[in-house]
Amino acid sequence: MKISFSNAVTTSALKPERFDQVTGHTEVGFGDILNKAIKGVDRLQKAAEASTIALAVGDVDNLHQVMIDAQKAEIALQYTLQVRNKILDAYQEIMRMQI
Amino acid sequence: MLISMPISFKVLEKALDASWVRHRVLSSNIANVDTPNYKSYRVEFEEHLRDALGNTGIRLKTTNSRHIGIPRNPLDGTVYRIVRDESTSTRIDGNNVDIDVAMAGLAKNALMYQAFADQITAKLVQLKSVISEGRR
Amino acid sequence: MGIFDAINISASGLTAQRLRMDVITKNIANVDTTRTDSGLPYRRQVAVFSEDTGNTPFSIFNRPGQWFAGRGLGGVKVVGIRDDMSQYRKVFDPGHPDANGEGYVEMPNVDIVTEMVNMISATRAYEANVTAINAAKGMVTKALEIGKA
Repeated sequence: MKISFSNAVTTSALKPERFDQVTGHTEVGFGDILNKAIKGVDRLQKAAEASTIALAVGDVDNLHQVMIDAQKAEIALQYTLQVRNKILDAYQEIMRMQI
Repeated sequence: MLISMPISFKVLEKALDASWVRHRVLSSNIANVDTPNYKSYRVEFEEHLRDALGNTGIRLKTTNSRHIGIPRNPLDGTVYRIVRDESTSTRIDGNNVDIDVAMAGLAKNALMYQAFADQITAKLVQLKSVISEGRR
Repeated sequence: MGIFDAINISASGLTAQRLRMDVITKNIANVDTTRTDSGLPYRRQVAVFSEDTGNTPFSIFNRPGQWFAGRGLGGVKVVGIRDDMSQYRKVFDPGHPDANGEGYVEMPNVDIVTEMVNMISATRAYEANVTAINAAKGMVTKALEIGKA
């Protein structure tokens, strides 16, 4: 799944993890969260697909695992979409600000 | 999983697995109720699950903020155990399957499986609605 | 262990018990048969059951955390129908065409009461297997609904 962001969006708000000297915490940006989410979705989607094929081939141990995997993949996808939406909303909010 | 699932979710998954195997074991016992010298099998799950959950409560002491206090999850892997009942039988053919116990176990197990499935569905639906903030 | 392995096992139980019923009814039908093709009285027959581990995939024993010694957990199969070699019943009936010199007739070694008890047992076992299949059906149907609101 490929999502491309414009350059403006990938500036300050989406910088990768960096260590803040003042507060002593590790900052995690939106981009980091989204990347993780996308990787997770990809992994879960692949697992769910493999389960479906295994079901058709007759290679599956039990049905509930297939169903649960499919549901997990769907939830991960929805989560990622929501994160993306929130990021875009935030971006648009910022762009609308009168300077 | 990118969203950390509550431990009850994992427990339900394991319960479904064990319940399924238990049905398989009971079916085998019932099919072999008249087979000479057949010894009945059973699935031990609840005790092992209790132990596994007892262990998860342990938190490692952390002296530095960079220490990770996550114990290895004892719920990974298979939590059930298939045991053979080696007790001698009172029957001439050496078979120790008690069909009444098996039938009762079958009914109870089927209900439990369905209960677990319902529970897991409830959790999944909950998650979905949280993610979409109640909007469809 | 496939989804339908449990159902296959129960099905093997149905087949075996049905065969056993056939043998029992044959015994009952021939309770008074003093002449068979071989010239001897009818001999009681018994279906021999054995655990069928042939279709059990080894993967179920190799999973981590699963302690289990030996093969097993399969269905059942009938390995043969053998004759019951116990003695024929001797009945005193001088008028019978097959009576011997002293007036005794050798009757089949079939005891009706035993056969009836076995028939009830076979019927009950058959029904138990049917119940197992229905339980499996209920469980799989429920699993199909996981995640649906």
